[in-house]
Amino acid sequence: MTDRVAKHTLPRTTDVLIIGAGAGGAAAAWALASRGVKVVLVDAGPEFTADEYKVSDDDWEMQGFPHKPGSQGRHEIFAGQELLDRWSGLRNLYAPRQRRSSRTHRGGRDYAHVRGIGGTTLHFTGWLHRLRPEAFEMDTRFGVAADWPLSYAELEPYYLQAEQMIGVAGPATVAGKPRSGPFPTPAHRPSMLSQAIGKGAEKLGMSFVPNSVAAPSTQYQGRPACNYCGCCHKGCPRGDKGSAELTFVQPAQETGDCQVFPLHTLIELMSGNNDEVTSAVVVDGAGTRHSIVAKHYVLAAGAIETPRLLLAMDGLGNESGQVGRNFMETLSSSVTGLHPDQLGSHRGYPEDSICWDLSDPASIAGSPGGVLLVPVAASTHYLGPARYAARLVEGFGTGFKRQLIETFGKAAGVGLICENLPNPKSFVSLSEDAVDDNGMAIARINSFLPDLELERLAFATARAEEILIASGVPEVLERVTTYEQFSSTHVMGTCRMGTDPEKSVVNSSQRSHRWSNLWISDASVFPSSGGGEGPSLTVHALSLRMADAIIAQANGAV
Amino acid sequence: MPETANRSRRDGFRLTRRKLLLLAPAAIVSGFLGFSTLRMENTLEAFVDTLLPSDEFGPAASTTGAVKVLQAAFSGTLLRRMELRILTVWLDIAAGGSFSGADPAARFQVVDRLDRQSEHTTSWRIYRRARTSVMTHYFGSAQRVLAMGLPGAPQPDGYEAPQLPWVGAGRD
Ligand SMILES: Cc1cc2nc3c(=O)[nH]c(=O)nc-3n(C[C@H](O)[C@H](O)[C@H](O)COP(=O)(O)OP(=O)(O)OC[C@H]3O[C@@H](n4cnc5c(N)ncnc54)[C@H](O)[C@@H]3O)c2cc1C
Ligand code: SF4
Repeated sequence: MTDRVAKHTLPRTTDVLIIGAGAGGAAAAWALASRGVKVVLVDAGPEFTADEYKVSDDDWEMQGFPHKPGSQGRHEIFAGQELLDRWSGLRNLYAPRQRRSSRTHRGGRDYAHVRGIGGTTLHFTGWLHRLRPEAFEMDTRFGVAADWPLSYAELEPYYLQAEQMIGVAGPATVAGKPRSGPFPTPAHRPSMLSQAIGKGAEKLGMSFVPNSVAAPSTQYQGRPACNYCGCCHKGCPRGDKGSAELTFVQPAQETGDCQVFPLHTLIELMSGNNDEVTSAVVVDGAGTRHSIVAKHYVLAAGAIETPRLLLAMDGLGNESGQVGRNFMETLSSSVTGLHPDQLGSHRGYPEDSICWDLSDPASIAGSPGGVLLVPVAASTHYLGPARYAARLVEGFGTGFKRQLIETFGKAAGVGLICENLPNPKSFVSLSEDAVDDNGMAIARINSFLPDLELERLAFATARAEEILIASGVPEVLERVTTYEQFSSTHVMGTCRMGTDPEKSVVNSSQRSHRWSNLWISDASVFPSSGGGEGPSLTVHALSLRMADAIIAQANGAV
Repeated sequence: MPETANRSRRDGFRLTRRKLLLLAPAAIVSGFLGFSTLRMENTLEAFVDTLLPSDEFGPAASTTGAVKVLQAAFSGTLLRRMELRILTVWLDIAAGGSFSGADPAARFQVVDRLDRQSEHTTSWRIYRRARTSVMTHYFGSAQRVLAMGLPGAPQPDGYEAPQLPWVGAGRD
């Protein structure tokens, strides 16, 4: 991609300026440029190439995603709620001997993200899920969260288009999610870990089925098939995983109508006296400020940075007071033990199967919201012997080495992600004292988990433990939950879309209720989280749909 | 030996926060004595080799640079440096004066006691941090684990696609 990234300075004018080249911005860029709209795509982060992902190095196991200057933003996390005995089933357990932490209050571990061309999809696992139709009607059906101002049926063609751009590998059907066409490549054959966990679930009357994922199972549009190294979260060194820089940014550039500028950070949007944003100020990697005038401005900086930018720009677009509100996070846990059989669980596409049995938001009595369960080893980092030695296998000495060799490949876990309903104490605001390099207040993530959320998480975690034990694992050695520590990979909902300008930030086409040329195209527009599904496919689909609306408005149709 | 007897003997070695404070001056004073750095290194070398000795599965941890890794892991702050020093002082005291001078069986017992302490003791937390850094260093080398018969780096070859038939519920 290096050759195609713009080497010149930012143009002074363009049709559409897109801020953020992650899941949302990338899809919007392609959808617009492929129809002849001139697009400038800026991202605060650098570009990455496949050869930077060191999965062949001697020290590969302890290397994570190869962050470099500019590839991570700064933020504060405030999640200090008291940890109650009542939720002891949600306290972390650590091997050896099921030890517990002495923590009395919830900690704030991480908001995992990447700044760069491709955004957070650069190190995402690559589940590509549609939401269930019911998830679009959480208020009407259950009186929680908010309804989406569009239906599953309206989004379905865009889901299909995004899946085709990416080459998603998936099964013929997915229960509860009607499709108008097949997945472009067949599902991957499930790993032995998946099969073992699937057998355990069957004993409990549940079932695991092939997951739909971003790595094609066959060669697809110049990308090779996956070779099952399991390292998607470190960055895919083969370039098969469908992260946004490959699936949308590159095709957008190939149209000749999309110029891409890494390490270019938006710091200001100027608005006029009428209903339009008039220009943007962008700082390049050398610190030089550029002014750019566009007909339309698309904010796609993600569900933490988009509200932060708007709040820092004197509340632009915040006429409703809803910017930053309704923050939703990854409500999740994982339980792990050692399986008696040699599963070779370090091999395979991570989480290549999934249990949708609890994904209907009506599944758990008294706690509306869906849950999904997956077999885990890669996402708990059991890909090589170092993590086994440090976390899972007890002791030391020669006996320990023998035990490690005998045990390696047997780590088996069940992970889950639940619906996370918005609540007034979970929101994104501005830090009171910390600023970034441009003097702009950094984001403060405020997270709180009310009882309703913890009931759902406790129910699902107990289910996960039952499945693990039923699969043959004698005991849970490790349990990690986001009750004990905030740790979010999916962030959503801070610039909610809706029909009522008093209660939402953007309309059903993702255009600001107040500003006629300001659009938001990232996970911040979600009115509800879905039942744990990966948000990226929905972000892509929404962006493709939004691009139609921009073109229609430009053509005078709206 | 009955479990209770075992436990009370171990409790004598439990490093509570109070005992840690008592050890701290010894650790600081030892830091100012010229010979202490060498002594500390000897103790650390004996410690990492007790965790991972030379045997049929691979080399002793000390020959792989584990002591330097350990020192680096405890180098961030003054508190961290103190913790490492406290660990060595504790090991020496528990071994009757010199951990590195003790025989391998005695060293094993000393580390075993640490390993089994409650997670709520400071000594266990220091030990666990030390153990984690040594283990991740030792087993974090693809070459070394390959020699042990474990898989090395997963790329560029990757792994074969799973071969067994899908045994799930049989529906998509
Ligand atoms: C470890 C991990 C695993 C995940 N796994 C999955 C998965 O399996 N499936 C799934 O669907 N999702 C997954 N996700 C989540 C997924 O990656 C995100 O939900 C998705 O990328 C969100 O898209 P976005 O467009 O909202 O934001 P992002 O993709 O984060 O993109 C935002 C972009 O905006 C840029 N930006 C921010 N501020 C500025 C500024 N001022 N100026 C210019 N640019 C700016 C950033 O640099 C960034 O590139 C995972 C996430 C993580 C961390
Ligand atoms: S498992 Fe497949 S998609 Fe993931 S990093 Fe490895 S080769 Fe790439």
